[in-house]
Amino acid sequence: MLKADKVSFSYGRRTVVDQVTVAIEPGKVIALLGPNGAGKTSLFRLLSGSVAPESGTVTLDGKPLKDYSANTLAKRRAVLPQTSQLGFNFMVREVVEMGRLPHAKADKSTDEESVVELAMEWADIKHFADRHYMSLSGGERQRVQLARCLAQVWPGEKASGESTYLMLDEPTNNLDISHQHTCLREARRLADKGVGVACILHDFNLALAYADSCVVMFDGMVRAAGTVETALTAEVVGDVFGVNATLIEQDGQRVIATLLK
Amino acid sequence: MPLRIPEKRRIWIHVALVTIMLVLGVVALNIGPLKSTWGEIWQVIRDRILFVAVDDRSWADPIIWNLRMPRIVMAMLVGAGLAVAGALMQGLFRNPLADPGLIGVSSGSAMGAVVSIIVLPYIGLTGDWLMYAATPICAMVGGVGITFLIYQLSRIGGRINVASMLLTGIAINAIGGALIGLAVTQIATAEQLQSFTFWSLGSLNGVLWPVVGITALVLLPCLVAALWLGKPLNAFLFGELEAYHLGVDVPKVKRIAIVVSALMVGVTVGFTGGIGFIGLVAPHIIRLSFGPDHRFLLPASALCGAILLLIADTLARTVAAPAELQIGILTSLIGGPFFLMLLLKSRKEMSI
Repeated sequence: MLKADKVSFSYGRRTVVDQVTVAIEPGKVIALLGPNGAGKTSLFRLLSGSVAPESGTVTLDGKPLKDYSANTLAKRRAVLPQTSQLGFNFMVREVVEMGRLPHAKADKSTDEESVVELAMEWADIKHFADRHYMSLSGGERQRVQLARCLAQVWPGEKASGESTYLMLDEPTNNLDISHQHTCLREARRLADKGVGVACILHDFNLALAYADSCVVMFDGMVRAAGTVETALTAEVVGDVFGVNATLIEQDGQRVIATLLK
Repeated sequence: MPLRIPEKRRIWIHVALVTIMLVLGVVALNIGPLKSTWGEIWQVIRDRILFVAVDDRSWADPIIWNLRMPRIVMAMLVGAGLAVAGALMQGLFRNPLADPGLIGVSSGSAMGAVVSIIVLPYIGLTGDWLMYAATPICAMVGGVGITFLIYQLSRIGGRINVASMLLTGIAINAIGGALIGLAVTQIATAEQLQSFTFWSLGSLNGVLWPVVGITALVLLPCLVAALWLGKPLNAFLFGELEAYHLGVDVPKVKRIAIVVSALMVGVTVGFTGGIGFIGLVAPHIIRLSFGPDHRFLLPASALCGAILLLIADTLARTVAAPAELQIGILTSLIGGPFFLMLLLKSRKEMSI
């Protein structure tokens, strides 16, 4: 389990994460929601180990993150950034292959080629695997980056017994609606294979459809947490985002519609 | 359009580049005012390999072995060093425009060199060791310092701001130029001025074995270290944060890349002055022909740079013989059009 326990972090005087407790569990999808500037990405940085919390602890399987080397951590968790830069013209396949970088030496048993192929298949980018990254549209690039992250934490045939985690920071950015669903469906599939998935989302309905649990953040603090059914209610959404929210249920599917107050 | 190069073909490309470099090197041995036959050149090399006594050596030995050979080896070393330094900086700054000359590293090294050529004797330090040790050391220190400064100034939130990088480079170049000008006009003696002018033009003229040895001593370990950086630099291109997420020890890689590239620029600038364009052109030629993968780019750039500078230097000493051309003119003359051609060809692909 990748767990943040009462973590706080601030930029100068502004506290962006305030006493937040959250856990990413293997086999589960957890959604992080909240308005812009609520501290979602900062919480992600704490969870990924790229910044250290000012107070509280982040642990992976009970051991503090700072006790892991960058390479060991990279084998256990991948992070899809909100935006990606890449100033050089790699081929799509080469970008996805970079996801295997942390595994380069350790595991000879995994067939690297096939992992890359599968990750590309999942992210639906195989048909442009031999194109140049720079010639792609924003949405296509996002999918390539997703494939890179999938490849990084790909659950191998031979289970090493160590849980892996996928952290997606607004993975649906720039994606058309069909690929938004594909993206989260693949995240869901990966979770069903035992990977712990955390996902920053702005679309409640995607969260309702694909996530097991969710954390709604507001002003650096947790406003609501729990299963999506209990935590992501019309009341919470209306409260946090300052909108009129209505929950619509149909055929067991739940949707939250919002209107300006 | 750069193709994905299979592992096996990468080896062949390297073999081809090494062969081209060696053949050009041997050809260059026989180019110059003194004409000799291939047999005589072979004899000189054989004599040296077999440690033949001084009196039994070929008559051509002093010219071939003591004048041309060190210069040719030096051209290869400096070309490889500058090209790899350029490739490292482009990877480090995640930008194809980063070039030791453009972003001010060469200026930093030049400032260091000026300190050793002019300021050290002025405060009473003199001697032969100055030329062999103090100049390159000062140039290296200057290069490392300036590279750190530029990197810190152009890094905003873990990503490189290109505008800051180029503007810092312009500022450093301006300050460097002014300081060097001041030192030259105010402090230098006529003799120092001459040595400085000669140096600042950038030339491999008069390079002897000891200088080649010192250069190799610095460059070869740096080149080996640079090869180790291939993989992490690939991850680096996504940004520092993403590189960390991919398991790269970011501070360590950054430190090594900065120190290694600046050392290489420093030692070459210290001995041969500012030779431009190689650091920009050689990696680009490789990148445009074979793609941007650093595992391939770094060694191939080294060979490409060695070949380019060898050609440029051979032309520099023969085109206007007995006079010497400034080598920078030639590197620009050869590199510039080639670079433009590649740019035109790849414009559709948006390759850089």
